[in-house]
Amino acid sequence: MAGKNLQERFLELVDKNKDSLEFKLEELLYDITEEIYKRMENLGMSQQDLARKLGVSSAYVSKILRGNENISLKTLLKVALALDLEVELYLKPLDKRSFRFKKREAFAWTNYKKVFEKHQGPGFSTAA
Amino acid sequence: MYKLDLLYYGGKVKIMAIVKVMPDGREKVLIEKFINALSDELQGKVLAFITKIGDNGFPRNREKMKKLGSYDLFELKIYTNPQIRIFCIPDFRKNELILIDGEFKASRKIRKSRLDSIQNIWNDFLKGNREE
Repeated sequence: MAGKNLQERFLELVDKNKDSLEFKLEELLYDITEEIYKRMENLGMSQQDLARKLGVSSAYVSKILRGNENISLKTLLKVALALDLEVELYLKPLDKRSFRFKKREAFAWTNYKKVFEKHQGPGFSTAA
Repeated sequence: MYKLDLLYYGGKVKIMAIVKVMPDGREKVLIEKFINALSDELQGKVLAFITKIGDNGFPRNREKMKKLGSYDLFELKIYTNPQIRIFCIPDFRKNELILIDGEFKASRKIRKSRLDSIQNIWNDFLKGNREE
């Protein structure tokens, strides 16, 4: 590890872990709980409100939001419906490229978008 | 003396780490030491959590990130078994998150002495950088 800077060491560690079950599961749970929380905020809904709608305790809702409850698809769908949302799932081939490579690609795309939007307006609009 | 170093930048939030610089010039990164010592299972979860913040922005979900009372500190809450807490300082204006250290949450409340020592690291960092 000597000679490598902190960021390089961190990315190496992420690369070692990025395809593990725990890494992928945490990513999924993080996304799901953030989506639920954002939707609750947008609807002005408290944990108690959601619990009432689902017919469960607010402690259970809190457990879902923490992401430590490995929720079933049925529960996820119940929560989504209570929030007037739909669940869309898809499975895709595992991207085996390095985490660092994927990041670089994402940055290139973001920068390209920024430059393009600067000249063409947001959303790549070419309309006058 | 303490300084900041970049740990991860995913496009939304710059994740920085507090680095302790020893008198002989060696550097000690508390959060890196904590992560490296975790089991593979816990390491995966913690790394996913940190990179998610870097990529997507600060968590809105208060079950995941919370201010610690009267301290300047916030905690990232990772619900593993045992639970993990990462002490940090967010700068919402600059989109930066400074990670200080982590620990396993052993009891309901985090010990005051532990929080005081983390806060002291932050205070020392601020003091050192104000004097420069």
